[in-house]
Amino acid sequence: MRFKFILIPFILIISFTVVVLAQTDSAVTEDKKVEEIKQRISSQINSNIASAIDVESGFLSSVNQDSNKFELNYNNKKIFINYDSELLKVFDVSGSKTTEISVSDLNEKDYLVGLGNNIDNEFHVLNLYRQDFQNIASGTVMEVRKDDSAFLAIDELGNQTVVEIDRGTDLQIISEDKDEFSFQKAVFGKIKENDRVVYRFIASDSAHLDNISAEEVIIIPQELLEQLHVNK
Amino acid sequence: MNKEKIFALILGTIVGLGLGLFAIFGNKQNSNPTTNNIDEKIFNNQKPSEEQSDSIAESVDIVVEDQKNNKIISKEDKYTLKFTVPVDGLLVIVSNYDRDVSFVKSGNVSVDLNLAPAENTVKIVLYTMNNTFSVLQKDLKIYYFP
Repeated sequence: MRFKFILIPFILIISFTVVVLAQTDSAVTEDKKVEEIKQRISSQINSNIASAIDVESGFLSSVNQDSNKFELNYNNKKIFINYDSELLKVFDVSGSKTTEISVSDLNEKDYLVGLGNNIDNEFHVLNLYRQDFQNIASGTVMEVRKDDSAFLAIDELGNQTVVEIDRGTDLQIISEDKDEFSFQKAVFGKIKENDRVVYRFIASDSAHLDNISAEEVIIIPQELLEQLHVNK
Repeated sequence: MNKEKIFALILGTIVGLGLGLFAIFGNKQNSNPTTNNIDEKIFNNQKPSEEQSDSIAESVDIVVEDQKNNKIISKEDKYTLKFTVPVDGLLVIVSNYDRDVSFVKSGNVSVDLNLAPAENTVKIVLYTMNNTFSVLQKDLKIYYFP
């Protein structure tokens, strides 16, 4: 009788222990799944951070070092960018070279390019680059002004621009040899009316300019296009 | 059934049930029963990308791949620009650090460009060989951050 008194609770305890162990196994499986989900969430967050990497650029209007904010201006649009003074790196770009400078080296109207994160409509810059504002335009030569070392170009929208050529201008003409096209160094005298041109210049504003000094001019001779048109 | 048997049965049931309930609720506190729902919400509730919208908007012109609002961010100082042109023509590409010229047939085109640090301004100009001598153009910014 006493044996049965001990045996019955023992059997019941064993039974419920089996249930407990089953639950524990189930919990281990769930823990694994939770880990997997955590990893997927982490990977998703990293992917979102990567996709949040963005670039903002414009002409410097002001720097507020107290609130760690820059104000840029581009096409009459104001761009506000935040920075962390401990993390921000500022570089000056010249050709393929970059030199680290400080925020205090920046001047109003400098053209700045910021790499950072765009989160909740706020841009947080990590690296800031100061460089020339490069413009590239194309058009047709309307008039060659030899005395001024310049030509008048008109673009597809009808905007006219006087393009000045100076000693530093890289003047190139496109030529063809056996269906191979290449750029050849050219002189000002090669430019003719009705030639097509693509020209690059540096500006201190994003607005259209009536008169520019070209850094580079590519000449596409009219006769080359006509010949291509006939042959092709 | 005598008193001892009944008592043993009740005692065993209470102790076993107690242990079982403790194990069940203890484990439930450590695991989140809504994790599967969270999983589905995070990974299934994705919006169409902006790139897809851009490619739809620019279906009749020089269409450049991998660009977002005419901006491309490159990890290297060289970038293979891939785009499609609708007609044959003389293709001139000028950037602040490189240039290229070639005659291209309508369809897919790819051109390797060297990049300068930070912003690279790129102009793609296609002098078409159709009857109207028209010019197609595309302006892009490619950013390279060393």
